[in-house]
Amino acid sequence: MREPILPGETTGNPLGISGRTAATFQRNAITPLLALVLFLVGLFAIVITPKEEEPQIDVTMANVLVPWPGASAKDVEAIIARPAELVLSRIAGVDHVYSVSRPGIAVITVQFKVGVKNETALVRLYDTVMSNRDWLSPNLGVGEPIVKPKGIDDVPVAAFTLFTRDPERAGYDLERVAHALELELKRVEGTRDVRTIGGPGQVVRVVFDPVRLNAYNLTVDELKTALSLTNVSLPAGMLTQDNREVLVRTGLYFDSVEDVANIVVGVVEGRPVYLRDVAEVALGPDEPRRYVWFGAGQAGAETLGMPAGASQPAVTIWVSKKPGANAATVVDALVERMRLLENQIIPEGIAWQVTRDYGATATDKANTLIGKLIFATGAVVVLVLLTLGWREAVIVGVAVTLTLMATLFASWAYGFTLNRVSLFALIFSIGILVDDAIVVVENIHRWHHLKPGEPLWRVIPHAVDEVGGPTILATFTVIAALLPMAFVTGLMGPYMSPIPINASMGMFLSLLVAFIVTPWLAGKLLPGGMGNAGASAGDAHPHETKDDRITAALDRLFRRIFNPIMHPKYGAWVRFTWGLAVMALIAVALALPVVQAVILKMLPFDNKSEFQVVVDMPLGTPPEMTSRALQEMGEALAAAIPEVRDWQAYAGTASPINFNGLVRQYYLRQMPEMGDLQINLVDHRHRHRKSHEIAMAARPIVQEIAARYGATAKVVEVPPGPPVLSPIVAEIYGPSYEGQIAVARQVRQVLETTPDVVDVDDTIEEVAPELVLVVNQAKAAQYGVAQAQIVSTIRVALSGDSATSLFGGNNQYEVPVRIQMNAAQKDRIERVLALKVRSREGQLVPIGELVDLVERPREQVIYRKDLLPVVYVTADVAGRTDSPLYGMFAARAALDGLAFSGPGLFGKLNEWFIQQPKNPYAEYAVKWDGEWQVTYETFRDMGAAYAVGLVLIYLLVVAHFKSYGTPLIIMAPIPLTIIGVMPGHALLGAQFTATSMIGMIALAGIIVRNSILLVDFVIQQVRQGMAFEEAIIRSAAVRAKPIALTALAAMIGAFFILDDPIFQGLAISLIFGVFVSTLLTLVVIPMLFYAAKRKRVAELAAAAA
Amino acid sequence: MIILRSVLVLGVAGFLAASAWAQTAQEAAQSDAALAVGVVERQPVRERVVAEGVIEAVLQARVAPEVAGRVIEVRVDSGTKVKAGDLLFVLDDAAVRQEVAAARARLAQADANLAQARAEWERAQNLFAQKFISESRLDSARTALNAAQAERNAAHAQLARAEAALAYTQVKAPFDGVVAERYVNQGDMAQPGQPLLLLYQPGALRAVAQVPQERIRALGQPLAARVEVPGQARAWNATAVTVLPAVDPKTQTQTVRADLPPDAGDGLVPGTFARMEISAAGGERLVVPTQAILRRGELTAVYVETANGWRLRQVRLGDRVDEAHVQVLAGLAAGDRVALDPVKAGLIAAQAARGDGDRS
Repeated sequence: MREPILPGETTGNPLGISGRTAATFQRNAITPLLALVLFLVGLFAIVITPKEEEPQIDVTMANVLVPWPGASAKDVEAIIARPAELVLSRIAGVDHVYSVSRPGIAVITVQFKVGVKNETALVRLYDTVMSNRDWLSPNLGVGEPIVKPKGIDDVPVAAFTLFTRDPERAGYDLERVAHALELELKRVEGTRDVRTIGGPGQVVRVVFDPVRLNAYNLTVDELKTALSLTNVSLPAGMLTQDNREVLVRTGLYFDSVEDVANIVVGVVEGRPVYLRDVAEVALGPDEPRRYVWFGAGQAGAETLGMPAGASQPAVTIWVSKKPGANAATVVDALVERMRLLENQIIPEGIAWQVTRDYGATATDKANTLIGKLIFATGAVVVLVLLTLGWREAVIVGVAVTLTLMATLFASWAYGFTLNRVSLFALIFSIGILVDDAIVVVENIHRWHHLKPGEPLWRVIPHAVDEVGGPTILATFTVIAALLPMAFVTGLMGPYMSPIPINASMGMFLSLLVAFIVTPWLAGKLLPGGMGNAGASAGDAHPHETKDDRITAALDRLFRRIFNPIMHPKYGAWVRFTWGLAVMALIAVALALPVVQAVILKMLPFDNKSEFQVVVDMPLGTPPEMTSRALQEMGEALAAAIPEVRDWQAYAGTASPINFNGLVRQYYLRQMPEMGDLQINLVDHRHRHRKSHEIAMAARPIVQEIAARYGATAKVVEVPPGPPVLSPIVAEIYGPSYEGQIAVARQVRQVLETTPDVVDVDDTIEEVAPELVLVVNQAKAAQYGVAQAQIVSTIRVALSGDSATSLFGGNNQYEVPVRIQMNAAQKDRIERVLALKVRSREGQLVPIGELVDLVERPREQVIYRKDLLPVVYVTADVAGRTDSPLYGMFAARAALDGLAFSGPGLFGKLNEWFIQQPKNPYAEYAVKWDGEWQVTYETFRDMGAAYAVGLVLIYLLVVAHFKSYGTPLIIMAPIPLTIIGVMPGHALLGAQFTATSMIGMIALAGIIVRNSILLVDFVIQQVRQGMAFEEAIIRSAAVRAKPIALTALAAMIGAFFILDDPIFQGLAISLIFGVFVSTLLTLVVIPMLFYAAKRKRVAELAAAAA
Repeated sequence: MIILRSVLVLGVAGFLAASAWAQTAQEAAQSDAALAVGVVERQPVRERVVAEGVIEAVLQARVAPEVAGRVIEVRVDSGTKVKAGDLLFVLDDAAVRQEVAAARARLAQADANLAQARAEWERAQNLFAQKFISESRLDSARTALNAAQAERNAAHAQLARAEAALAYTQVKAPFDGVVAERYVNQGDMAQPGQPLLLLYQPGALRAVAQVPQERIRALGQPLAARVEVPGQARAWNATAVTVLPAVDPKTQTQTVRADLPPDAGDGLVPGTFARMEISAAGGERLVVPTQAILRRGELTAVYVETANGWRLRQVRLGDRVDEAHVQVLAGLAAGDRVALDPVKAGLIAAQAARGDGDRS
């Protein structure tokens, strides 16, 4: 063997950039200070970066509500929804425009593309709405459009449920306390909205007595007029008196119930008739339209001091935070504030429970992950300690710590928060980050060992320079593989973006640290004396002069493998067999998902401590009934599931939304037949079952009760990533809405019979009665009664009407004066028809005389999506596969060739997967949406990112090796990763998810590094005169150890992610992919290189000359 | 120097502030014990109906002359207090006097006629005794005497009546009272029966209101009433309340009369608008002092004394009972002791809680 020469000395070339950097900093006094600064900024970043559980994504949705009282759904669709869609869909950055046309109101939902800044989106939206206000004539009776934007910041971070055991108190009293608390909680810094859910609301009820009204010759309308005309006050002007101006005010507002009761509503026989003479006037709860209940579960019964299952009236206050505020800080401050307000505003007998604490979950997640980060670093350092020695371990440990610290700071500066994705990005990249340090240290050590006479400061720049090129290349290949992922669109892209960006920043910083800090540390730490270098590090590193035991063993092993491969005679056959075997393995791996040994899914379910049951009672169910069904479900779940801590039932209103509810617009669920049940579980540390298993167990219980009430109930888990309307959505398009409904019914039937498909629902209204009072125009005209009088009287009688408001007092919300009929008298329409209106001549005419009664079914609500009318059929999947994609494709098979029959139907159902039907008049078609769409878009974009990454890697490798063919060989092991990844998933029974895909992309970068080292070695050796065959064998034998070391480091880093439900896929991809592909690479790469270059060895050697 | 001085000033100010703080702390500690406490009690509470009515006098008269005549003298004006028999108006008595004179003349004439008839009678008696005249002539002489006698009596009575009419030109007060309104002025022609003024007795006023009959019935008996007049600070408790039995068929109301105490007349005038609060004894209700009520936003609560210090308790309030008490519908029990200064109780409770927190 030749005497090794320092790289710079052989060629006389100046040092490369890495060598020069090392030379500059290795004896510079600024280096330790730089390291210290890096460490401190890292600490600073950890302290100040807001902690979140999930990354915040700019999702802007806005509801534009256009009321049009009295209009039918068809008219609403034609006059409001369609033009509004036309107008709104012109906005740049809009992803979808949905509309729901109900009788009397249109709700148009504008969904902006993910990543469009909230402010930009809203400015454009308001601009569009405002500039098109003149679209409709004001005489039409269409109300002002109301824009209600909802974004990620509208998701509450904390919720407090107030409840009472006191049977004398109810939602009304709790609501008063809650309203008093709102202002106090808002004072906490960083809070955005504070709202109360539940409580009937406060009104001045004016319950009129129809009999007495008749006796006094009064009508309901006159009461209303009197109330609104009396409650008037205005500053009239000034009076000058004694050289002073005295303000004159005319009239006083109502400021007490007595004021309202004492107004004169008419005069009979010269005597005034007071409101109190014809109506009961009282301040108190409004007629309840919503109910909130709080119940304990088995796990929480003891701390709450109430029996499991028992439920009590409750109200919930929720608080959202301002963007940029730290959820943990805000929620902690809120809880603290609530404690302080006990006995100040929260009275005795009212208990409260934190029913949402995203601060705690975020802190918990962040702390767990930081812990894992430390453990992973420690584990890698231990690995270095065992294989290289303690000095190297210290150097690598310091280098990795500094890299991580600097990356945390960079992550903060980039605007990321500390969330599960950004931290996982760091954990998984630890394995890669250490590489740069290890390679540099190892090479310094090697050269120090080879040239014992040289002082370290002379050796180091050259040692660094030698590995600098490949290290930079390897680092950039990983960055090249990951970075394109930052450009993935849709919800998934921004959600996952911390991974490519943080990992890339980490890689880049690790490179800097390796060239700046590591040489300095090596200079200080490595024994500077002569000849004793091996004493500490031993012979545990490969070097050319003398093989250590492991290398020698590897040498023997690889000779046995490669001799047949390179056998001049039948070597070609052996190589062919190898190739065939590898191909077969890849084929088997690819077959695994096809035979469902590996399930493809967008993202697996997380182990959250909450889930929801969303209940839709039959149309026309009063809130009391909804509440009863929910309570029954809550009690049943509390009894059957021991992990339930507490539950809240929200009937006729929506629970505080989460990110899922935001996208699914659960906040619009305010009808009396709608409700949901929020189930809070004990912390995941105190239970064995995962939340998904618990939710699966809850489904049959809930559905059994729902079936009894004729309701549909869905168990909704917090989706791990970006939410969709429903896991499976079939959008039915066609030329007529009636036809679409008929087709949707058939599709629903098919879905219901498909195995594993659960929670099937659609947007077709159930048959519910509707009474129409048609005003007999002729008669009305004869009596001189305007239709408006009749309409308003009936409205007052049935819904109550707010005539005016009560002023004064401490009320935080308007207290309307509501004229209404006694609830007990609202059972039959005849009672309403007995009410009278005043005719032109002044006598009273019963309404019954003027209207005809027509009974008919309620109108169908019309849904539209992106300018086409649509009927939705939604479903979820539970069971063995647990992935909506499989349910969808199973249903597809059953739907295939579904033939229609009936009026207006013809032909077969067509299917669309990516876009709406091109011609909705030509066919009835189903467009699959839901998780399919997100999965498709995500994997499409990731696939594209993967492809771009591969091209970039190719370019980098071409630049380094200055050859077009070699890079292809170097990139050949990329497909080999599949051999590890797929069986790995099958082995652990895990689903192949988007994170698995990210793992695969990262793998490409990592694996290429191995091949670069191998090929680089062969070329070097050949240039130094070694025989080509020998070089091939030596490359595998000598490089096996460092390659295994870096592979092991990567696997250890990934190992710590394995227990996270979401990033499990990434971990499995990395561990198995790295493992299998590393093993195979050691054989396949030298073999391929041999096969490709054995005829062109001369070229290789010539390049050296 | 300046620095030294400012240090001094600051030091003194600091000392003063500290001692002031110490003092207030001490005071607070002292007044903790002195925090007034009210007791929640069951009290008989009256059910009430409020009605708007008018004030009227129990005794009032429209004074009218009994004779016609021009008013020549006006002795009183609206608002004048008069005693029974006081002269109110003087009417022109010239015509009356002439009538008296005429009556007198007629009396004289009658006297003369009577004397002549008597003389005739005596003559006729003598003549009859002498049998000069027939018995029938004697009878007619007797008749003539009787007629003359009667005529004279009539003339006398007429004179008396004319003299009485002379007295009627002096219009006098029928009872003690106050002139509410005067309808005539000097020079007006008064006619019999046409009122000259309105006189009422201020010591006996009552309020009258129309109240829906079912509300009155719901109150039960016995009724009490309290009358307030807008613009007057005073209110009067009725001495007696009468519900007239008749129900107005149009308005379904009954008339309620509340008699006011005699002193009410000092400030009240009949016809004034009045607010009548009719009440009857209801059941016993839980009552809490108004002072104890704490309002924080929409929350209505009181601080209750418990073994653990002052505890905030939410209450639902009913109607006001009187100036200082209000009914409590829910949240408190009889015997609960509530802080009459709830803000202070809140401060004490908060500071106690903070102390606990510090210790723990």
